[in-house]
Amino acid sequence: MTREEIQKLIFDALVMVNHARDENEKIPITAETALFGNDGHLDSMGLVGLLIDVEESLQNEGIRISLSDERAMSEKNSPFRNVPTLTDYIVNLIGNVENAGA
Amino acid sequence: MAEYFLAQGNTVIGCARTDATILHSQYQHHILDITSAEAIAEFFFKLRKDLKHLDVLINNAGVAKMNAFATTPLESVQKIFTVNVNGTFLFCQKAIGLLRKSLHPRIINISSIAVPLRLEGEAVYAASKSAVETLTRIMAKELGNFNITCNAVGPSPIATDLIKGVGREKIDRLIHQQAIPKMATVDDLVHLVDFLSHPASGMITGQVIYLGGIS
Repeated sequence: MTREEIQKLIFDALVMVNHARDENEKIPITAETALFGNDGHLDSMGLVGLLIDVEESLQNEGIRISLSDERAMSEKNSPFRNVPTLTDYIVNLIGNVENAGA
Repeated sequence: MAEYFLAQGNTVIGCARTDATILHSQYQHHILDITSAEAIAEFFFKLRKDLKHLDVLINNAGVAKMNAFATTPLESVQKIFTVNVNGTFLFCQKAIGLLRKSLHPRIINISSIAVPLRLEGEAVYAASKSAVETLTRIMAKELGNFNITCNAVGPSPIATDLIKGVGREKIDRLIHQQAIPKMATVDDLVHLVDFLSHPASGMITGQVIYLGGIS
């Protein structure tokens, strides 16, 4: 999967989150969107829900990775704090899985 | 337990270390080593391809080894915690995605009366089940956001493989600590699990319920 495809998958998950939100609470869907921590649009359980959606979408593509991380709930260091860091994290994980399987 | 839920018209997916003992068109059996995080992840990965959702997760895999605290080897501690705690943890975690798609999702973990009775000779087993109870209570808070209820049940002595090595005298002593001093049956446990699984039990979560009136 390319970086763009992974970002698209995160955007799709955010669209799903927005379905359940009022108009004035919608999360802006951009390449820089803050997800968690400072200025983040999700609380901890909102983030968990998003990550589960992303994990499942990846599984639909035949990719099995686990978005569990010691720093997940760290406001400063969470790899899930915005769209670019989450995208990078998944790119790295997929790379590691592919390397391990090669 | 599986037979009861099958008789109610449900599909049941069972996991065990050994071959199936149930033959039923709605029963799917998987041989699985729950000490392997990789095997559990692979199991759920495959399960997602066949299932749209999961209504109830019952974590009843468990090992018990009686020993005095002072003579329990660390290997036993690791084995008991790997199966009873890590196994429950991983199954709950991996099942969230499928449970979330159910209208009435339930997690039911099996604890033990060894926790409230603080049974001598079962320090490690009871400690592992204490961990399961606390996991259950905190999961209930977190997963309540997804409408998933999480409860634990602690059976009083039932004639199962888990207690076949325990002497009759000890079982009798345990039973006499109960408000209802008699041996429980599998049906007693099934009834409790059925009650917690019921769609109408959506407001019951974070609870640990013991059979026999132990508290």
